[in-house]
Amino acid sequence: MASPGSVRQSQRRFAYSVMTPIMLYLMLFSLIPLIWAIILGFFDYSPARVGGTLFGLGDSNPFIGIKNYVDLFSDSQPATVFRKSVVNTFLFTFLIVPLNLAITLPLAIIIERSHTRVKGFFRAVYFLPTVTSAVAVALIWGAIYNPQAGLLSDLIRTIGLTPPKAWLSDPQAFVMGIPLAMLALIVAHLWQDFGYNLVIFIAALQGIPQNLRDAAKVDGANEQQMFWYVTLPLLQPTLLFVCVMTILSSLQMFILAQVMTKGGPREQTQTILMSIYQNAFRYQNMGWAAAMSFVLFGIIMVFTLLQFRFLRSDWEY
Amino acid sequence: MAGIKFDHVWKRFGDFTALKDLNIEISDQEFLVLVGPSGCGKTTALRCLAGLEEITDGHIYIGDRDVTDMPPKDRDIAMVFQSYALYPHMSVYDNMAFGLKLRKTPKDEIDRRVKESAEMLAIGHLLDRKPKALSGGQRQRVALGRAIVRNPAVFLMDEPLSNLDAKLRVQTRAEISKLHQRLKTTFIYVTHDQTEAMTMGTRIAVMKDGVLQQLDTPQNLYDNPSNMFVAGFIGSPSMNFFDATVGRGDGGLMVDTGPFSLPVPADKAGQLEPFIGKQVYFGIRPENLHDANYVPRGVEEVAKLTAQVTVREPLGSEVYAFVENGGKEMVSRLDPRTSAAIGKGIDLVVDMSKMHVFDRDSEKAII
Repeated sequence: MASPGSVRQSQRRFAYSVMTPIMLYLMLFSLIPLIWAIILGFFDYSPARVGGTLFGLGDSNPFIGIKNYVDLFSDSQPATVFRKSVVNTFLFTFLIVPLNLAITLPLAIIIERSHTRVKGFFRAVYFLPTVTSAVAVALIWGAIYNPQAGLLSDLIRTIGLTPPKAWLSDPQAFVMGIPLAMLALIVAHLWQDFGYNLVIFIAALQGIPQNLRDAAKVDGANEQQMFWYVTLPLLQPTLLFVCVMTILSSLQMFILAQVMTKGGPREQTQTILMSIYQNAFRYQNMGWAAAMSFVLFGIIMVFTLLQFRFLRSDWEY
Repeated sequence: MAGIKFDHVWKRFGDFTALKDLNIEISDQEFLVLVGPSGCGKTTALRCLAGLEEITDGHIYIGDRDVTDMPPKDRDIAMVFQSYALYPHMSVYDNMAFGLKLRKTPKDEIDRRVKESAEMLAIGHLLDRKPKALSGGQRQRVALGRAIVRNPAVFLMDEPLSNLDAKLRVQTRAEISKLHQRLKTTFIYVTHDQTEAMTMGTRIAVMKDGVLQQLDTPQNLYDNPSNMFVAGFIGSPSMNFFDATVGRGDGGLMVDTGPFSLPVPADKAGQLEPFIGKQVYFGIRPENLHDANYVPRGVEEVAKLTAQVTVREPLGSEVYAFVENGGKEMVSRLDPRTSAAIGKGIDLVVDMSKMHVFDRDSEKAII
């Protein structure tokens, strides 16, 4: 019989062998790029310049300390665009999260209560856009928003109203102070993204023990009271997860804006990730893009920590 | 406080019929236990009474009110669930107060009732805790407390002790009985444990396959089971059953099991006369088989039997001996001084005054 020590050793060996590939993957594609981005943020680095011998750092790609970060607050045009992209991204995120929850949670409750077969059908239908390529979604919505032959404008004309002259490119078009192009992006993003949260909410609702609902019924709760006092509090861990994931994906909004509006009109839909992409790959200003990335990383970190702090639950079922 | 009536209640789930024409009348302040094996319909009956399941046909009354189509909140009931069903995000206080808050009871009154019930159940020091921080026994008390504060007309309990360990179960069993005496309210208690049923109920309803088999006091159920199922279900260890034929012997009627024949007491012979020559089931409880050396006083209508001991289970106060005679196996509950030993023979005395005989076809009790 193997001794406890040798069993432990073989278990450890197995654990290492299983973990090594994923650790290598994380190192190569997450940790090393993260460290590289942090380093680049302190250099005036461009891949177009040869630079020093150590990974191209130094010489024509000089160390400049925190100048990249300071410049983010300067009056230069790229800095102004970046700050605008931060505001746009925040606006996008703060609208997307409540709208997403307002759609997905009630819809999940309705679907969860429906017959098993209907449930499966709707779950699949609503999840389809989530697994569709974002570029394809952007092209579809681009066509829908076409001011001349688009479905939306046609629909509005059919009911006797006048559609906006352009959904995605009119810098003067605002709805309640929000650029129309931004709202158009939000609608497209919601359509693509809400299936994911919907499936998660349905799973969470199914996980709430039936006897808690029964107990609430016997205690005298009506449907509304059941939702506010029992269902919603029990969904708190799921709400935390959904909020974190939605905020993360919204803060990293890129493809839809890039394909549908290219950040326009007049940078009204320019997002942080677009600024980073443009500076890094179009203007070859990698050091500055790295500083922006680090700022985005900080923003995401702060949001995530805040959510964990305020939505954390000290119970389980 | 109120009586309850199940009036020809049927409950179907698709093709499966969970309750078949259930008729039970429960008096005010009664402690009725619904007992039976898994799937017998006892929990379904309780859930129908609570309003958590709609019945397919029939009527349910609480007091004078027909509550058949009433939602649970209007039935004036409180329920203790098998897994307690405490709201995990609420403190013990809030769990207990929830029903009262929903009924817009004044805050002072809620506070008074919660604290009073908590004291009654010795959980006053736990009011600020969340259910996660409680032991199984404490959670069970909170679930009871949540029911008590409501001061309902009827308490419904769905196997509330099944998640507790054996010792705590015995202790809590007694506490629930005391609670019933103190609250003087109607209790309906569901369990599959016949010991719980026997010790707690003023009456017991035995169910099988959605059909009420017998509704009677614990002692009557034990002494006079209406059929083989009740006879076998109530009592631990179970009653011994044998295929037998009723015949006439030298001194009167005999029950012939094949390997052994036992004389029928004269006072029971009349009931068996119509069954002479017919096949029946003969039943005898383990405690009515005695070691011939330790026959209790008062046992007079006896028959003797020699058997081989196959298993011996000493419990301190008694010994369960599994014995065998001519291929017929039976269990006996013997005096602890018995010399019964595995592989050895033992002389048994059968107290025939406690014999049971059941019809072969209907399995209904003849004696």
